[in-house]
Amino acid sequence: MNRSFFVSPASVGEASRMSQENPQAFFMAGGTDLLVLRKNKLIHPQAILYLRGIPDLAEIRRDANGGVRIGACATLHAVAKHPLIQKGYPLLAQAALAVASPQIRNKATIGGNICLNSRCWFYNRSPFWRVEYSECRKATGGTRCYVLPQSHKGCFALQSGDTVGPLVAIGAKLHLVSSRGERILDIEDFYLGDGIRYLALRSGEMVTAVLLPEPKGRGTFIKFRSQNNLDFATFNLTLLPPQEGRGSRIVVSSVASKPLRALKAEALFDQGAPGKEVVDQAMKEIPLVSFVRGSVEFKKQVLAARMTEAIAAAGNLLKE
Amino acid sequence: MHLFIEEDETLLEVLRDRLMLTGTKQGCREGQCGHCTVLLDGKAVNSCLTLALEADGGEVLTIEGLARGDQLHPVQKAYVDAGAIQCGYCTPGMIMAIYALLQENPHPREEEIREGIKGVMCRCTGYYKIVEAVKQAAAGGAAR
Repeated sequence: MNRSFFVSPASVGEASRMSQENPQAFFMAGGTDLLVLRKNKLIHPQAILYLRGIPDLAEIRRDANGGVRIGACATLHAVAKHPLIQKGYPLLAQAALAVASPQIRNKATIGGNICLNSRCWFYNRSPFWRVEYSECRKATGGTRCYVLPQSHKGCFALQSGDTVGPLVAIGAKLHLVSSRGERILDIEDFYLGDGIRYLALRSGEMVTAVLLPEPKGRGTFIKFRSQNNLDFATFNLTLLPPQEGRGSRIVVSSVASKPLRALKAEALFDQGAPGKEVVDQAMKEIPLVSFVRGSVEFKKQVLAARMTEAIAAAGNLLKE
Repeated sequence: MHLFIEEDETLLEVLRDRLMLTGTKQGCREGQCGHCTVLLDGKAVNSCLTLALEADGGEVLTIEGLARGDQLHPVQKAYVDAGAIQCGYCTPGMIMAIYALLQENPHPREEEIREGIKGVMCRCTGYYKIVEAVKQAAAGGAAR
């Protein structure tokens, strides 16, 4: 059968069904990640299911619970500039604006940023470059990891979507749909912690919306990268101070195959512990193992320094 | 316009190889250099990261569409006047990015200018004269 390569389904249901029928088809929204992976021969889509033709999938609106529902195909530009997001979720607006360039943000979507493939120094390369590293577990199904050569299994490619840290801090949920039905998943549970077995998406399942709860207080988002260019983050730090002694969040993302929360440090932060104690505890809890985008030692030093500043800014809790 | 193309062709490939609109430059083909920037329905995009079929029914503006006959667009004129061209390879992409920026924000502050042109890499010297050109274009009402 002569199948079309580029297909624009009219509805989520049709897209799910097509995906189920053709497992080698890829969903595409902005395409800014997918087309680069295809160019580098890391994926070989037999068909593209183009999602931006589906009505309403790009809508950003208030929901019945006082929160906001962001359609998965809303562009990062639209998310960054939308009054509901700027007013209620400024850290998310800031993170969306921190992604790459205006050109990328005009196409890339929030759903795509959440599903962005895990990235690695040895994986996101041209076929020519990768010849030297032909045993990479993620690229070729080989037996080696060039990031952690002493590891016997697993992949340490990094979750790299900038919006993910703020979404975890906010407590966002994802609306997932497949031909078998729909479900709601906490965004924290969406990442499985391995660069290959990376997302909790089931076969044929797609993210259709991001559900934000009622706005919380203000906080800090820091995207740290080697230069102020369009690079991915060396780390992303999202910090929400406690409100009435509870609910603080310390989220470090883009440093592992899933976003990381420093739970014990959050508890100390809630109790009003001195900033240094909070930072020391967070640094103990956050396992930095990958040298991708900066050595582990460098990341530790800068992350601790920026976290100290963020906590000070969050409420001048630092007591030396 | 009607055109028969392969389904997996990028907008960049169709512009350059089928329509012979070679003003849009090919650089990295992965969204880093921005030399292939065009406007799709009024928004700057990397044409290398856009499948041509995404533009089906839409409006594409390339560098060829800015000047009116021999009369340069005000952004192009400001670019020449400020000496921002340098080697010229990034110029079409840069001008399209600036055009899009000024359409959205006719009087950008310097940091907004730098953010607006962030997606286009100049490999010559720096961005000083390019930023100057944007300021001149904005002051001259280039957004129209």
